Amino acid sequence: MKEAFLTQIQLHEKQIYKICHFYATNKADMQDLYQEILLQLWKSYPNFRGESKFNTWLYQVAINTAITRLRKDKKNIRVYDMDHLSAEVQNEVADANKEELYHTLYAAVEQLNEIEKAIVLLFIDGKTYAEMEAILGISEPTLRVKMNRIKEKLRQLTKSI
Amino acid sequence: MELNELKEMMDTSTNNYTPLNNNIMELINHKSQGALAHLAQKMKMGLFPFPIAAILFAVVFITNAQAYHSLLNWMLLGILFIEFINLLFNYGLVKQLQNPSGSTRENLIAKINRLQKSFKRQFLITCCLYAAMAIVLEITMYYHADANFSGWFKTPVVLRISFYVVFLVIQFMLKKYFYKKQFGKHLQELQHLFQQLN
Repeated sequence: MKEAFLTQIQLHEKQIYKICHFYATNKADMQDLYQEILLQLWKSYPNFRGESKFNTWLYQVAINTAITRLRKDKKNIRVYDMDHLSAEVQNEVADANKEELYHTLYAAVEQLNEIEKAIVLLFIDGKTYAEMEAILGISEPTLRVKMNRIKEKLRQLTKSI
Repeated sequence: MELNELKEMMDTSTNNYTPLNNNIMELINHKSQGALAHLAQKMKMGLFPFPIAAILFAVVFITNAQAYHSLLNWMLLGILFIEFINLLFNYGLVKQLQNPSGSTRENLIAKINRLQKSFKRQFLITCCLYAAMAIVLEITMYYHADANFSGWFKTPVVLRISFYVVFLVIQFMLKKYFYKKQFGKHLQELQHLFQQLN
């Protein structure tokens, strides 16, 4: 079972990385969250019966872990920290304009609530509304409304940053 | 459009991302560092003194016939058992709260329901056990004179019953306070998350 789990995780590691990137407050928190998600996936893996796609199941477990975890530091202060982006991300955004845009967009996303972040995360990963519904349990029409609101919110936030 | 730009940037950047830790097998062998896991660990440690105390009681009962016939000792053992059940209950609850399966909505509903219902269920069980203990004490005092309880037995029945009621009310208040301290903030956060879904 360990081998099968390892193969699946290696195939989907990028998704876990993205979730940590969205929900962690800094580099150390990102490492903690990554480990917590892996542990929860491993503990829940025996219950995965293949009724849904592995990817959908992984997102359910990972997002539920990320949003419901209690941080040990009670204040939960979010510090925007470019260091916790991978070196590659920073190289990608090395161009001054791109870097500024990325910085602004990321700072705007940081201000969304946990569920809105999950919706943005799934959108970025190219999930359909049906897949988002399976992961989050929010109906498709509500998701569409929420998506429009998020886009508007991000527009306002990027203007004010 | 902002989101599409972010999507594009994330796509290109994560194509060459550096994994946080390649050794997945090593990571899953570690214990969880989350706050709930810490709470579960703390509760697990809190469970150990109970069996030790029960063994001590057993040793005292075997070696000392007078202690065996003391109603007070049996009462203390009863309280110990009830508090052990309470702690076991809370430990089970913390374990269940760590379950991340199901869609986010299902998961939040299950956790909120569990937290809201468990206090009532737990208090009802505690209340029944303490009430049963009071009844057993009353019956035993009637048939078996115990020096430790002779004064209590002479106290008017109404006063005795009032004391049991006050004891249960204090139990309720204490349990509610500790339950809120342990799970109140978590319940609030879950309810807040649930509101965000709608």
